Amino acid sequence: MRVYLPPDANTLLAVAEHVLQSHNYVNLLVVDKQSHPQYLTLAEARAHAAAGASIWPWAGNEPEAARKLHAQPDVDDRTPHVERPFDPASRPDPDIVLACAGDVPTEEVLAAAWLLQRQVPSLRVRVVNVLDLLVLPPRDVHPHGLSDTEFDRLFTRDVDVVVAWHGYARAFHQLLHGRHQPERFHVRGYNEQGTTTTPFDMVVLNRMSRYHLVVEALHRVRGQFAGAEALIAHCGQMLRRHDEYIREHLEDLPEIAQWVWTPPEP
Amino acid sequence: MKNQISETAVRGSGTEVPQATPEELELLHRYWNAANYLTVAQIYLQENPLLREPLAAAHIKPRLLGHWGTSPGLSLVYAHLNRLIRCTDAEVLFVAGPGHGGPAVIANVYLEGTYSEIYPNVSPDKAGLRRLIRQFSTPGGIPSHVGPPTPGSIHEGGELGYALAHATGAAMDNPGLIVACVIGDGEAETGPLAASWKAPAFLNPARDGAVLPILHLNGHKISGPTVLGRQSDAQVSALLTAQGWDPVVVSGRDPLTVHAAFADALGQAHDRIRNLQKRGRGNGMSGPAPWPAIILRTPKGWTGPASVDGVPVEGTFRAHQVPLAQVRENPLHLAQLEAWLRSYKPETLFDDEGRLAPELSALAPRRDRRMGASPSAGGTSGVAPLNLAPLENYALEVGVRASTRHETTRPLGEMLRDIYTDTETDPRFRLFCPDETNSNRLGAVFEVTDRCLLEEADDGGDHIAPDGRVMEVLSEHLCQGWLEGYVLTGRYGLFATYEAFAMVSASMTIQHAKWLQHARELPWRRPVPSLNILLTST
Ligand SMILES: Cc1ncc(C[n+]2csc(CCOP(=O)(O)OP(=O)(O)O)c2C)c(N)n1
Repeated sequence: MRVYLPPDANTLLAVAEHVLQSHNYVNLLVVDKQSHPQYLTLAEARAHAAAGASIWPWAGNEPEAARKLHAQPDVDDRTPHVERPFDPASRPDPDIVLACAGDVPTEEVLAAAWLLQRQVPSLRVRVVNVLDLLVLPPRDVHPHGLSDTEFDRLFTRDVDVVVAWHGYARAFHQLLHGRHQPERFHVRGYNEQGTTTTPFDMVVLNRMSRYHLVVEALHRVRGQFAGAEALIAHCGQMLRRHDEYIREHLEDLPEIAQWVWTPPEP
Repeated sequence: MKNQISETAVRGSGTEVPQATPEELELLHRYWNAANYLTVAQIYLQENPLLREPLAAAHIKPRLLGHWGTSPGLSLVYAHLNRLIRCTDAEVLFVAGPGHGGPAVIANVYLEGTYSEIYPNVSPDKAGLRRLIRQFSTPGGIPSHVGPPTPGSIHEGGELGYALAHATGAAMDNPGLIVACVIGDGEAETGPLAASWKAPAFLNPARDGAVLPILHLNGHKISGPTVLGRQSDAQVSALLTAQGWDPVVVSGRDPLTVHAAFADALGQAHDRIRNLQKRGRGNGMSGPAPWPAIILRTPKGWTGPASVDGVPVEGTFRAHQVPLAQVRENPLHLAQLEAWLRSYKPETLFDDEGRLAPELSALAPRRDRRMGASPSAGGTSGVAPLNLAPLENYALEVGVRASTRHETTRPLGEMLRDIYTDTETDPRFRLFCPDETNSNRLGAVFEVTDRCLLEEADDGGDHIAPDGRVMEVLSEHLCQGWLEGYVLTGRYGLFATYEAFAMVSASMTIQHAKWLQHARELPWRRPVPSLNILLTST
């Protein structure tokens, strides 16, 4: 059994090319049929599909050097992990990891990462997209499971991870069972809320909107970051505005419906 | 190979299946006895497989697990299909809807020889017979249901309801194949099976093989009656006729009468299938083909104990599983079992070395045509791989990331369209969907093909044609069941469905995944194309 959640069209093509010619599997592909932002070139999509889950460096703001340093694989999975004292300057890890699986959650995570980087520039954010859900469990549970080294390279060993994903939150936790410190994963997912309402209201009702994710992330980071308080207030305000606006206009706020990613200024 | 049995008594012109002579029917009956004998032996015995010694309690398995009730019906159909194949050289795939009748199917693939070829340990001799009976439903042995280890099978016994859908999928784009599908009257009560009767609206005689449903009305389920079993022949026939079938009824409890009638019905069904195909392939037909179907009404647990402890068993629900339950403890039951086994006259069926009598072995079809050796059930043999065009043909230009919006599934539709074009001359791909191809943004496929429907189109239809290759029917069970039958016979496909309704067929997905898991461990089963399910949300 294989479960893929392609975040965009090119990734769906790369996955489809594989599954249509494959043998002896049950392949589930989960996609939304509405319009969504497109993220990856075909070459990137192919690499992403081959990896199953990857860091999207362009969507985060880790210094290049830190990412490289961290990308050196451990010599041995069994190397005991040394707890480092908290020192924001010397740590190669980001302050928070935002992970997403599925097209709608990916859009919300990107918007959340974008807000965080703009409003709290000192915060180091990493975005991880999970395309192949079954990279999450340990390899002895599923053959697609990442080795612990690879898993930790994506999600670090001890940084908090805020997850938005397409399915039930508890199902994601179940997949994480057996990974290092699974309690640092804070998962938002579909919670059986919402029927006929606007697309953004669906994610709001399921507490998975960009604003919920931002607040969750700022709540989880360790340390003080300038701009955090103001951003949390802004998110609360936006959720209230959203609520009023859709009741009045029956559609999403234009700045949400038409939100697009703009690369952060250097 | 035609008319190998008898050159005489050919009914009418153009028939390939001669009427069975009394001698032939007598042989068929003995073959059926052999299958029934091996079925009962598998359920009860751990020793003394040929019954050359008086039956003793020590010969009986300590735990009795298996389904007798459906087995004589399955074996009757199997034995007669053997004859049909010998007369016509048709390629026939056998789908056992009552897959809980595993001992009957195993008995038949053993008698025809395929079982021993795949499992040489279970040889066609005394030692092999002993293994055959000991392995059934025992630790370290084989399950009591038809499944991946059963030669010639693409259909697992277990969750009932999908036999006819699997059979229909197997027949698609398989023009030479006849899929004989036995359906229990219990299974016929399930939603998916009830939906499956629509097959004539979707099977095109010009390009598809044929499905021959054999609706077996033995009247009972596990402990209660069946609806169709209680209905008249006219009512049951009307049900099938309304769905486009052209049914005949065979019923009775005297074996030789039923043998004669069933051989006749099968021969006629075959001739009608070939005639429909001839007309369809020669542009001689429009609208759905009135495919033959057989309604077979025989007693549940036929030829088993008439009654046990004074309570009727044969022809009742009590024959469903193990009719005599206390054989080891109760000498009366033991004696009754022995009489039952001896009623098949095993000494006339097998010699002292456990070899089937030569006149019975001769009733199996030629090697490659034996149903246990069906190439269609064997995986991808002979099916070409799917060639895909370079993805560059469909890829989106991304520019500044996440700054433009696009419907994610639309390029996939273009990819599927080109697969249809590429496989036009060697059809081996289909898209299955409950009426959502357009709404899932896969509509590009309609540039090169249509929705398949043989019913006459009304003027409001959009892209509907009898030779359309997009299978749309508003039943997730049917879509998935057809695709499973299609991929299990080596072809490729995709089932696109709304995520909100994915749970409708989720249990089928689990059953299919279990099949694949088991099949992977069997070296003689070739890999089959994956079951691909696209779940779309709004
Ligand atoms: C979906 C499903 N529900 C219930 C059962 C349990 N079950 C096993 S056999 C059987 C009776 C089947 O009756 P029928 O199809 O007529 O077969 P037969 O009488 O020939 O044994 C039932 C209900 C099942 N296998 N699958």
